[in-house]
Amino acid sequence: MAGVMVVEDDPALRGMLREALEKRKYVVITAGDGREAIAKFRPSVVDLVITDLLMPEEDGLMVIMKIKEIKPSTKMIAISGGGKAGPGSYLLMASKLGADLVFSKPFLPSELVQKVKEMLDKH
Amino acid sequence: MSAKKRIQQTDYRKSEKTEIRNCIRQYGKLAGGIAHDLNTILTTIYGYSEMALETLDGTSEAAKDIHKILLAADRARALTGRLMDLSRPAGGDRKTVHVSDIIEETISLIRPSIPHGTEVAGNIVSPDILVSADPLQLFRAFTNLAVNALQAMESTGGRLTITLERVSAGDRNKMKDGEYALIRFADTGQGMDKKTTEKMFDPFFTERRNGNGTGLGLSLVYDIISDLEGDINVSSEVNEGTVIDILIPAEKGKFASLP
Repeated sequence: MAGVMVVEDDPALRGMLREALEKRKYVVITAGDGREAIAKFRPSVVDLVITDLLMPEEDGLMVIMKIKEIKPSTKMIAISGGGKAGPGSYLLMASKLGADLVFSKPFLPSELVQKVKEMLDKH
Repeated sequence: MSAKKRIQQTDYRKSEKTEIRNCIRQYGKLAGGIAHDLNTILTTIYGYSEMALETLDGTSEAAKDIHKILLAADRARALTGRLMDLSRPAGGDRKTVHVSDIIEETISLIRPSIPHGTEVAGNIVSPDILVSADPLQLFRAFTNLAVNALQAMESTGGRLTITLERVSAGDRNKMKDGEYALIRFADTGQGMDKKTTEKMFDPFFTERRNGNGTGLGLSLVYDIISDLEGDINVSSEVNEGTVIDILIPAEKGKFASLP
């Protein structure tokens, strides 16, 4: 089964996304910040990464760049709830850095999971 | 409304209002941070609600309750959207825009929500006037003013007229030389007393009860117009109506419309 990494500093949201993805039988690896994500990333296991953008330690933009270096075929979904310049600016930057899809919080997790399925089915 | 009747007049370009502007920026930063965290929490609420619904009979009481949770989450989502508006960057993405286009877009947006007994009319005296502004921010400012006017006429009905005309600095005190776009929102609603007109652009000031107002809409308007080196004047009389004049320096050149 395909592997999905969830990088999110909020433990409740991270846990919810894990549950939602595991219900769809994906192998899920979670990380609480960018540094942990890079350390836990396994190219043989992870096919898609869902990453928050504003996080302590390494942020989501760095996660996208580093993982794309390690395994360029990894699908990337960036999620963000905003920042000083609003959510649009970070998500736009994420797109430019290689995110295949962006979601602005709050979003419906069912829509995110559906997109994960579509992206991995094409994979 | 005649000049004689304008018993409550407030000039929001007075220097002491600079303090409010700085205050709005500080609140804006705080609001952006709060909205970010709330958006994360809301996503978790949506997710667990959806997962619970998957396991329940759609007609059960529990499922109905979860739908109510989702509706409440939608309301909170609208609120965080408004908080994000307040935290928007100063200036935005400025272009040369036709003010008349933004007014027409504003009227189109509010038209479906105009209550029975209320009219909204555009009075475009100078259709060719251009200003340098972020069209989206200008649209937000105009929409906020129009919605506020509609709410002031909610119980009585009435008429909102949005006028656009070109004025010169000579027509106005304390403005830099040059030409300006004057956008006037004149309603025949319940009006405001002096205390309210003095506070109406302060962040978090609202007269709406039951959580129906955040007090952020008009402070956003103030911030947007201030960034454009514009001016806002308010004349209001209780039970007669309100006139809000927005002045924005006019521009010459190519124009852009709303994205």
